[in-house]
Amino acid sequence: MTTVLAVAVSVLPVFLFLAALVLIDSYKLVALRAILLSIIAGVVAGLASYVVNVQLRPALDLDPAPYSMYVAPVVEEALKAAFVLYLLHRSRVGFVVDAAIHGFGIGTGFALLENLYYLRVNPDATLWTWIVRGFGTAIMHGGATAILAMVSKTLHHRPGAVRLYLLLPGLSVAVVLHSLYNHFLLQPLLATALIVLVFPWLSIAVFQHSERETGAWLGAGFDTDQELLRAVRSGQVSATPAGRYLHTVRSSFPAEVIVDMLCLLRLRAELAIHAKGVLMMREAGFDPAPDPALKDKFEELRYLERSIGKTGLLALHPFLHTSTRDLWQLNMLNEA
Amino acid sequence: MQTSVDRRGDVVTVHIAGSVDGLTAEGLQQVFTGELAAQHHNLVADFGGVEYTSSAGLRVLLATLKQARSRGGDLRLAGLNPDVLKVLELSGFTTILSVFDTVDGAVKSFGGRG
Repeated sequence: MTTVLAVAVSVLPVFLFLAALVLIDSYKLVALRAILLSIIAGVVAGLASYVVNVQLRPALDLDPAPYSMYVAPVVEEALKAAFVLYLLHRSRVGFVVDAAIHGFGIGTGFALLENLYYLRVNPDATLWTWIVRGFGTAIMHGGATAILAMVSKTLHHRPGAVRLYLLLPGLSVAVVLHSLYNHFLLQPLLATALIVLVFPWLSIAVFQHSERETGAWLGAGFDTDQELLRAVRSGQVSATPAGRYLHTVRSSFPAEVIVDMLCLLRLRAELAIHAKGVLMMREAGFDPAPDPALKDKFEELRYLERSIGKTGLLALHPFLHTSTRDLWQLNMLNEA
Repeated sequence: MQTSVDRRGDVVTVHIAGSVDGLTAEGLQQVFTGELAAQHHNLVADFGGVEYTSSAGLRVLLATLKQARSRGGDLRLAGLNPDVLKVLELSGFTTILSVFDTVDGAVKSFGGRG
């Protein structure tokens, strides 16, 4: 069997699965650059796993089989989870769908490195071996991390530092799936067939559910942002809860800071409308070009945040939409 | 929300009055769908009487635009009030939707077809 065929069979399937996940996401939530970063993070996690596994197995004095069943899944899933943690912490994940794509991307990078390593140390393995590694093990790596990311995203709503215990349920599921796969409870080819049959259906069901949720969030959020913007633009902000609140805190801040707070509310509403507009256009099948004026708006946003200061931003917190999705949409625009 | 339709050449203008929101958007979608089904693919939405449009109304515009263009036609907007225009500009919709000050301007923009 040629090396080219072995590489193709062991590496291509997981990339095709990843491409399929990206294609069925009608909102195009994850940019290509971000997907590449997740793949690279997976490669790095694979390298780190190799180093840890080489040190840890002799230290634990375990044979390869029990180590691969009980210890390697914990090490490997935990290292893959590190980038999921980073993405959640930086509000780079808005929905279950983009969590799944990032997670599968990390698993893809991990599987790429692992299968290339096996190709190097086992160049004479049969085609069946590479079929199992390409369609089974590689998809298992992608799927396990995708599930880890989806569960963690579902549990993590608030922006800022991610509480580590929120990652534990997703990590546990990923470790159990990985460990079961390594137990070879089923024949390797049967396990591979099961993964190939089950994972696409599971992905489609999760994506359909998440897309309905995204559509509802878009509609409700767009209308709320539009209402706030109308109030600010028409000078009737004092009639809104935000305006009444600003009135009560005006004695605590200099007048120019109160003005900047109003400007910040308006700018955040404008950017939120823009972000949701982009998503609605993608939902309808359009591919809008990036707006060149956005750079200036983000500079203005940063200026206003500096001018208002941490205390002022804290005071404004109840009226600045700062859920993970609100921050995610700003990141999406800023990185476009 | 109320709608009325008139036709000049092969350009159909849908005049809309009131608010286009979650309750009324479906009615507007039915009007556009009916015109497209009748092979009227060059459409003008007259927003002169629209005070407010929610995300549901904007989704109707996007869906109609998509269908009209896929059949070789287009959807163009006219007479938007400043608030609605501002929202369309902020959301980026004006990068894919053509907007005109008047219905006449929008109809004439279809060339000799109006």
